[in-house]
Amino acid sequence: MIVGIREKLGLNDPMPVQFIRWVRDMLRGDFGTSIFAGRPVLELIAQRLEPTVSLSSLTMLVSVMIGVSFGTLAAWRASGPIDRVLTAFSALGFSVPVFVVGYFLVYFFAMQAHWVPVQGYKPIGQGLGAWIEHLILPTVALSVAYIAFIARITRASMLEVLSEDYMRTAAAKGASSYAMLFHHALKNAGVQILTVIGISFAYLIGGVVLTETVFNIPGIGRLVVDAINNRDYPVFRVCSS
Amino acid sequence: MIGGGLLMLLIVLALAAPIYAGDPVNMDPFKRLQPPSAEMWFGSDNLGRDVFARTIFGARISLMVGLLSAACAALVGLLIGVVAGYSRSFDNVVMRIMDGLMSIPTILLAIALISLTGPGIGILIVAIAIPETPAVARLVRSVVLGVRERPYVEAALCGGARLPKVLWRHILPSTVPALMVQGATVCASAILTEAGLSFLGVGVPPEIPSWGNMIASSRLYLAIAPMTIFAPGICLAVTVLAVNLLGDGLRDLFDPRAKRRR
Repeated sequence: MIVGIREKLGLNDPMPVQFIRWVRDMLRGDFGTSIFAGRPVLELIAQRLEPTVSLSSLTMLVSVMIGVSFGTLAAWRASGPIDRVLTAFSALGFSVPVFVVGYFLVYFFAMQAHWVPVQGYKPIGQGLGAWIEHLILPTVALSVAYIAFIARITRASMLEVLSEDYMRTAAAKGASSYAMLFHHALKNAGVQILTVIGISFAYLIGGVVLTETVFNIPGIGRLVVDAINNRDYPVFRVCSS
Repeated sequence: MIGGGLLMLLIVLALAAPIYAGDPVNMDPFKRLQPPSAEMWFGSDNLGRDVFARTIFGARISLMVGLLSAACAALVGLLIGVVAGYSRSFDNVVMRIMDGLMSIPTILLAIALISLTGPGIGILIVAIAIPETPAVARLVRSVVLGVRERPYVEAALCGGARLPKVLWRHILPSTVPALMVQGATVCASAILTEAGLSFLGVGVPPEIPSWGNMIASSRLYLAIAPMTIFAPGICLAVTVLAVNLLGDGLRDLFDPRAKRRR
């Protein structure tokens, strides 16, 4: 039987032959078949794409909105009480791992208060309400570190921009502090913030894997972890690249 | 410097664990999932093991893996960074590889490395250090690029000093402040990665208590015995916070300009 499987997977061929076959298949759009599920890897990924995309895009949205406003607020009143609180929050948010935040949220908001379901996922096709309800806790858990990160970057680049000459000019010509912050400063700081958000996307994906495990969300992260535990190399190979 | 003090305290507590913490692996089937009591401060887990003892012993693994990975990453990154900052051809090749490594999520890269050999503490440290190395190398390289044009380096070279000596005596010391700040960041992230990997079941082997695998093995019992998850979770957060604060403190120390801006 082992001989048969080896023959079927082509493991008896020399290494270069195996490698060339793999590259050729990939160029043809054949990304291999899962050893464990016996189905094409692309099909498995397609099935699991929705939860992961939902979770990560929702997290992006929430964290950019909250993170940028926190950072702006902190820079506006630099070294005031608001700034102190927000800086402390961002140091803390950086330090608490996403799965610990996740279990705290589950315990207090799902198990004690019964406001939201403990875990699982409902596709958006089954109603927007159920979809949001299942995604609230994972999104919050995943967002905490990300909000802290974005707030920190926003604050630093806002402070840099606020000390520029043209900000003094804007103040001199009598611009309101609202106009100064949002029209003059944030637009210029935005370039730097966007760059950093883009770079840290890889960081977000690492958190997605953990969050999906905590909340039992059948997404790509779970697929990768299961693939590793089952030694399902074709699946792992495609997911990682 | 609160961070440094807190970290020292944690290290001492972890090192002294055998003196006061009790047995972390002894199972007692009759005392499963007990609430916190005078005998067992944090209660017991699903196999009747003392959660307090396991948490304290878990600190040893977390700190050891975190510090050693950070040290490995800092050392290798320093080496690559210094050479890349000085040699153009090496720079082009190696920094592109580093860029490639940086684009892979840390946890996935570590999992892939571990799946090559199977779980173990040694491979875990290497697997965590490799994804962290590029950031260090990049930073060191940028410092070296700035320093190599300075007059004192040119003077040393003109004075007949050999290149290795110039690198060692004149260029290496100027990278130290940046390296220490980055080292703290790397250490914090290494502790988080270790916990994440152990939580996913690919990190520290289950027979050794670590914060990550404690949380993983207790996840089904969150409703009955929340302390089994909260105790290691809070310790993890406090440790990483201490390291992060230490990093911030070091940055303020070495770069007073940044402090005024903050």
